[in-house]
Amino acid sequence: MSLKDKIKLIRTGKLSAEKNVKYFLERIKEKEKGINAFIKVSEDAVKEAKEIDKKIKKGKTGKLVGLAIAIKSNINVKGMITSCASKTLSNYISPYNATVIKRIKDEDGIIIGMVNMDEFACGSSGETSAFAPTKNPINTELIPGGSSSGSAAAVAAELCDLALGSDTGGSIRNPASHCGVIGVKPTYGLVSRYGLIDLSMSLDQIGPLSKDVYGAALMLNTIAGRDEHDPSTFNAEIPDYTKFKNERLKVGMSDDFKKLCDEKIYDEIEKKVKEACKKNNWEFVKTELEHVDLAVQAYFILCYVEFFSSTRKFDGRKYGFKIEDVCGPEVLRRIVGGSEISKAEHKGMYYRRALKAKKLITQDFDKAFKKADIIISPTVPRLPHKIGVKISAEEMYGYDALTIPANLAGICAISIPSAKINKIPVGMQIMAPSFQEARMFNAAFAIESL
Amino acid sequence: MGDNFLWRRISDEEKEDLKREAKRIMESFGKALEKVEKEVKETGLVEREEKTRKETKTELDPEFSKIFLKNAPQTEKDENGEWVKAEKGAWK
Repeated sequence: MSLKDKIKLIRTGKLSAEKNVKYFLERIKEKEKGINAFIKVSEDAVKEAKEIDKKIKKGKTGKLVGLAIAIKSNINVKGMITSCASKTLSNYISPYNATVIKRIKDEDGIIIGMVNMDEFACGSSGETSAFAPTKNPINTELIPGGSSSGSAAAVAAELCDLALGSDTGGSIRNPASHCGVIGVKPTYGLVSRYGLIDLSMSLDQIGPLSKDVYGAALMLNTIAGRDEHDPSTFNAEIPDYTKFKNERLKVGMSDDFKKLCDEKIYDEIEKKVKEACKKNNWEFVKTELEHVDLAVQAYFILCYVEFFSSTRKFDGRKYGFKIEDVCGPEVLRRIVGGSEISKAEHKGMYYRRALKAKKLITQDFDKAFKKADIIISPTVPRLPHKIGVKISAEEMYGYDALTIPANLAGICAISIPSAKINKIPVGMQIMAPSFQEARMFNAAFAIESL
Repeated sequence: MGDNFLWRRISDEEKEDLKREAKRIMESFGKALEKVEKEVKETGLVEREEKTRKETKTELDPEFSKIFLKNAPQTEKDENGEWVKAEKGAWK
């Protein structure tokens, strides 16, 4: 059943919110052990569902009426353990709701639980969680991708209707691609970060994961918009993203992305793009993105420094434990790396240089969007590896080579399932200029409908 | 070739290895970005048009401090209420 149809059933009383939530709680009991998507299932979900059923009877219903929503464990949900999948915050009960959570509750969504992730969002595979790795529901030997591993796996395994993740360098789109679901990284400044435990504050965005484009659009409609608590949010007008329009588009692809990607994956995506162009009467154009080969290097310098800075509050005095005493290897690598850069920055060789590369990549996109309305690439340059195999840090960081550029440029991007190679899903990434989420969704819906 | 990325407790020896590796990665990434120096000029500071933004008052949630104190490793009570106790006297 599509999400749109389910909402109709709930709104008309043909399916109760309580029954919907209980269905997922049963599925979690049955399937969760083999996947490890959830860290904590909410004890209040059924009670909340009953309250929403009362509202439905009175005829007052929000956008997300009765839907079960899984939340990444770095987004504060009042009364729930918001652990960031780390021992550091393993006993931290959130005293407040993040703005996105308040907005979901205001629209009658039900928080079904807190899901697994890479520890403090440091990872692209879902393996670095201190609560054991999440497995890919498509093939449980493989990584689900990360860092929003539990969010993508929960949606793919049908353990919830929708999920929220956070995306700093691809952390929503990467697992969405590996698990065969939809994942959206909104424009920087569209969604409030208030209540998100940050990885890299100049790049982080909260976004939705869903089985279909409609669900992702609906969730973004709910959480987007100016928030007094987050001064980086804009007063942008939020159109109804679920009203998909048939637009004539100029679709760009770039050989600069091709160079960073497995050939087979790139060819599959290009084939699908050409099919979409033919069917929708879109124009296919080649675009240049000269500096995207510097994205990984620039991103990790920015990320290490900002992460080091953001973790100074985890000293174990007010809550939790001192991070350096209890964290895993990838988190520690980033903390000590960030500390080293901060010490050496007087020469301007790292952070300042990375900011310059960020600027060049932004300018590349500005130029490319003069030729094309949207730019398409594969989401991830390679297929997922088996959980627990040895891999170098540089190889791991390379997983995000095609998603990082959108974060650095601040633009919006979506990953939609597009092909399968060796029975493994491969995602297509559609990028659009800042605040043109409506156009991005229009294109995604047209491709989903092929 | 590196190790796997699974979470594990880190030994002191591994901490030193991670430190060396992080430094090596950052040096190589910094070097890879050398070419941008010629392409981008230094930019000045950004001047904000308004120096302050309007704040709206939000209602305080009475449960906030209750949960906040529950999270604290140590608290102390006096006639003014309950407080988070952090390293009292530890600097002496």
